[in-house]
Amino acid sequence: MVTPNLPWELESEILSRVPPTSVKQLRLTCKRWYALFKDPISIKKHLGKAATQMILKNDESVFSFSFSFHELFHSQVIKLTGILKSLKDLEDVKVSKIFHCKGLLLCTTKDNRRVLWNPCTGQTRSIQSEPSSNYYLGYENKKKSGYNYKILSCSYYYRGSSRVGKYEIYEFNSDSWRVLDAISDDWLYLWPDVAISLKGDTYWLDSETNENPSILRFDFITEKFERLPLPSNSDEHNRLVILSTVRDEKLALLCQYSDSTGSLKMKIWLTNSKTDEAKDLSWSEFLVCKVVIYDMTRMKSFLVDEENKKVLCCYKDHEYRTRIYIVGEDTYKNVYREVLQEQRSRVAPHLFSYVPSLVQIPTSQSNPCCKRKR
Amino acid sequence: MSKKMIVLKSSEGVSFVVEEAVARQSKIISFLVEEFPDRELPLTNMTSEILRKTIEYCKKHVVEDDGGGDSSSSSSGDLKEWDVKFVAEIDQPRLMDLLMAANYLDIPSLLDVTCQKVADTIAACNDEKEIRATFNIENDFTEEEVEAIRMENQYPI
Repeated sequence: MVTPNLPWELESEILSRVPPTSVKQLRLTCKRWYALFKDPISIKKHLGKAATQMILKNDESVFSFSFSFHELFHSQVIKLTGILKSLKDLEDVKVSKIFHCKGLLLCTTKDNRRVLWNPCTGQTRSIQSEPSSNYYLGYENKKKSGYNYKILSCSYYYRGSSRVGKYEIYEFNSDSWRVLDAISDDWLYLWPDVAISLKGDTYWLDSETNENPSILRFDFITEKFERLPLPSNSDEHNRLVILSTVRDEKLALLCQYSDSTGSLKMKIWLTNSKTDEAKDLSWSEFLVCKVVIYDMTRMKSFLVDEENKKVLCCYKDHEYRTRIYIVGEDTYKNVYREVLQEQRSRVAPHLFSYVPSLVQIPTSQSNPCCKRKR
Repeated sequence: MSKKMIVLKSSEGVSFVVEEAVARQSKIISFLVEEFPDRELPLTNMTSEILRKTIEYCKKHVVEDDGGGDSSSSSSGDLKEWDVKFVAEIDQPRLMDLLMAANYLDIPSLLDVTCQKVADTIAACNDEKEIRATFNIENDFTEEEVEAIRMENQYPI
């Protein structure tokens, strides 16, 4: 720096205050700074310091924007602040699916490849994969070694006329897949598109095929599936339900149903904070709205603002335009409406919140050890 | 009631007479005053300009700190605003000197606002070239090395 004798700890203190979103430039400034951002301690210092962003995957593009429920009545319209930077650099990459887990995005590209991406640092890693499988990112939180990321792959094939499920786990260290034998085919009927990550585990709603809808969880520590209950008044959620999370702490469930008088209502449930790590989920009613989204078949994501008792609902309307609404007890406000496109995709948009972080994509560690052994 | 004064001397030998309560916001001066009462304190690595700025900051903060029970919340808000203005008016090289002074004299609140200002300045830069130019940092990467770092982050096509 301009003062040549600036002590290292001051330099590091200053850099730790620069939001992670600027880190790409920092790393290229000089060797000292590059080294600093390879350092796990400074990465830890940065974690959680950045403001939460919203990410919208609409058709094949990924946008980020910031949004505050507080400013609802001042700035009523969401402005998509642009395609996420790295994707803009790589214009030919089209994303057909995104799965978010703790700062990393597992993307399925349109040409059916899988790429793990940290949009904050720009780091990417290609994951060897099968075109027809569904992939989910999770982690084990080990006290000593930190997050141990893994990828779950779910697919099926036919043995004669019966479907057989196949489940595999990808380990980053060895850059290889291993088959999970111990899982029975009972779990086969996942609704593979709508999955969410909470505290390292993956959750799905299993409402399509089952008479008793439930939540399915894949635990990345035990590497097993579990079934968990929905809120008890099950009449309400045998119709339309969507799963989401609140701040990587709680699960949220949105149901649309008709009450005893026959009028449609929307209800949002949250899990009680501490119990969600336990065996069973316990739910509390968070919000009941008189307004409903009529196009809910093309809605697959929503976000909860717990403090202001509002939700952000994102869906495609009857003209296949993406819309975002703020919904509260007595609020129903359109904050984003896509301009009419010539080529309209029917795929429901995917909205989620994301905290930019410097978390490193794990690299394969096998090579240096092999050399030493020889 | 007369206030106790102390004398601080800059690297150019200029003496500054300061109320002891003002100067005591520096933990170092606070310690020195107790060890060497009635002595002029030489601050040989601080220019008059930076020392003047530091004292200006301490004066503002000491007044606000013991200003009594009147509207304490608004005054802390005003103080914050004042801090922002204070660092905004300083150019980049002097800001770094002030940061060093805050570090040397151990004035935590001044260190905090100066560090934050530097961090904000870095964040406002558009690219690494602008950061280097602003902070006069030498580019010690070769072109190949920059390319290699960029490649780390490329989507493998």
